[in-house]
Amino acid sequence: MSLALVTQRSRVQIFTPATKKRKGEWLNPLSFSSAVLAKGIHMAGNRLKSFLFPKLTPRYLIRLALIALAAVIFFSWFCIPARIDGISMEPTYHNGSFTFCCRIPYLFHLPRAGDVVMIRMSGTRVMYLKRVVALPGEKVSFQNGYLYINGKLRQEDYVVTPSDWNLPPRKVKPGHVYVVGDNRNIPIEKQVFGQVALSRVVGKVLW
Amino acid sequence: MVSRKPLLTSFLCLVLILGAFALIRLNKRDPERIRHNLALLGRMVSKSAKETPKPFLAKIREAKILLDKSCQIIVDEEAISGTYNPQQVAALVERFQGQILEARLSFYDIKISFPEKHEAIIHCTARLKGATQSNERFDEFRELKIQANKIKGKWRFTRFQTIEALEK
Repeated sequence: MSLALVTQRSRVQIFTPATKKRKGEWLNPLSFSSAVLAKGIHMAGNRLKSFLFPKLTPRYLIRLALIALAAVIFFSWFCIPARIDGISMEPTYHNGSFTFCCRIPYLFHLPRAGDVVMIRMSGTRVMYLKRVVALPGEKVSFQNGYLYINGKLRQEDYVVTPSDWNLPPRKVKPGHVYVVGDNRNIPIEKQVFGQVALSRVVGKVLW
Repeated sequence: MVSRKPLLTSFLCLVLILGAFALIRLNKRDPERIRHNLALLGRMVSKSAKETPKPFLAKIREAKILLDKSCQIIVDEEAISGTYNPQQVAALVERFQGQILEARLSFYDIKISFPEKHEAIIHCTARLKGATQSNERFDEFRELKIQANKIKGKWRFTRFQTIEALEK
């Protein structure tokens, strides 16, 4: 009985006062549930409608502009979206795949050996994607396709294809890092690699 | 009777708008003119597979518009590096286009500075994408430093130099 009263009250709240029933009167449970469902759909519809077609109030427009501005700053400076074009980082990064270049880690520390970084050319629209293999002051060389840092063999699990690269030792200049692509199947003359100024390192890839 | 006043006012407004638009178009600022010249240079070098080859004289004409009488090219390939006049550049383009099936030269991240009033230094990334006659695809990027000088009111390229970001 008390349940019915409660439901009756709630039903009265849902619809117009004209449908109000006398206190203590039993309700049909089927009509009640369908009414609640109808009310739910109606409310969801309204919310969806207001979400998809919001009223263009000044407050809403300011909020929208601020979100757009924040997104532009974030995606043009902090986290730059990039499409990979080329095979120099195969098999770690495939041609045509997508990633982000994140500047945030290098705001706190310098690039580390093993990091995959993006290197700018005249700007950030076109960048190189390479792996840091040596840091300033270290000696880099290739012997029969194997990488040696300061005369010690560097284990490179990311290199899958064998190569015959040979490069005499060279010291990385201060303020520079040595970068190489993971795909050593490309002849050494055609692969773009070498030491690059830290000022050209834009950021680290996100994944 | 129809009043002619609103008609006249709207006509005057239209003339004013068109005049302002023409003035802006004609009085392009220097960076815009240089960008325009770069776009023209890209078009001069590019070639589409379906395109009928332009006559050599037309290429020389285009080169004369864009380049100074003496233009220095410094690239990593020693065979190309040297000083050229517009005719020679046109011949170089002709030879290049004869070797390829299609190619597209485009410029990205163009940064222009003016160290002197009539001198501009342009930093940009050039991309040359296409295919050779044997259908071998190529896609090359180079960072360029280009010098342009204003000669008789026109910006002309005087020097092209590739910059190696990575040093082996």
